[in-house]
Amino acid sequence: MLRLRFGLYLIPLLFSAHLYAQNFKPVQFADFEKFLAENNNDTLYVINFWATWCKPCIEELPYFEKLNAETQHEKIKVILVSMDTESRWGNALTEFIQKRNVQSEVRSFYNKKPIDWIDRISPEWSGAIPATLFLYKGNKTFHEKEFTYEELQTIIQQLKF
Amino acid sequence: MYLTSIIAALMLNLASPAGYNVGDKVSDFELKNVDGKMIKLSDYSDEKGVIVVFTCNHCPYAKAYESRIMDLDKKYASKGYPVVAINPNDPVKEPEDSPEGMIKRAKAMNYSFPYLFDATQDVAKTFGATRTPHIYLLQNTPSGFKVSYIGAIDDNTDDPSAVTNKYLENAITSLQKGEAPSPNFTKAIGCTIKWKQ
Repeated sequence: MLRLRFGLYLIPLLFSAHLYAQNFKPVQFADFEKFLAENNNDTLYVINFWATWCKPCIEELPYFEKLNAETQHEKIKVILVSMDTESRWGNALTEFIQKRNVQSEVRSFYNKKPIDWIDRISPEWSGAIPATLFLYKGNKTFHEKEFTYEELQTIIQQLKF
Repeated sequence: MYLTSIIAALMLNLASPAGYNVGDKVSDFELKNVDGKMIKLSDYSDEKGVIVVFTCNHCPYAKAYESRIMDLDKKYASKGYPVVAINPNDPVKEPEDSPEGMIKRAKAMNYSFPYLFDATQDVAKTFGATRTPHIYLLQNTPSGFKVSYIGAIDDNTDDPSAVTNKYLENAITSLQKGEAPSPNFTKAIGCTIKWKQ
């Protein structure tokens, strides 16, 4: 009986591992916050908050992808944090990542209550997406807006140089 | 002198984000409803308050809350807190949120509350709304309507059965008891309001 139960628990674990896109990893918010706090080095983190259902997010996503592709050898790291909820991770989000061939790292939070973490990402965030957090040498810059590629380049220049 | 006043203006801007804060008096506004009639906030001067909901047709978060917004009006309109829904989105950017789309949706779902179109987006800007859905609970006072709660309806968009805190309903209960809502400000993920360019 005990063995059977153990086996049943394993099934969804095995499934979910295969269902998600390779560059997608759901994380606990606490771990993400720890990652933000510990990465006060000279890498510039560009962390974009988006969702597959958010039109302006999808419109600006290619710019973040372009930035990711063009800065592979620089100390710039793009992370796309999806607001898609857990029920969409295996289908809509994974499909989106594969169909659009998204190369940047994609993350999402297990924690279901954004009210617990919106302010901890930035007090400036009202909760509307798209929104982007720039983290460089421990300093946070937050923008609740849709970026053009030129605007992204400008802000990175301002932050890094 | 000119420069300092610009800097002062900029700093003021940073210090207090545009729009209403809790406690602020609300200016009257007039917008067109889906039935073609004009509706003013002052039409509600006999009510205890108004639940102003910035929402729209297209946004998945607004959709997730639609039935809860409908339930709120059914539950609270008779208690003196009716819902007034406002769509602030630019239909050029989001065709689903056009006045025609609004009329269709309101009819299909048989909304018991007005669904107003903020064509100039001035009302959304005056309130300081940034996303859909975005709630402003107004309390009717002798000096007019005042903002008593800003934020989310509750703490779980996806699953109404897993909600642990009904912020808006708790805020209304506080007002009914003559108390100040706590919390009076909450945040939630939502769709950005589609501003005109």
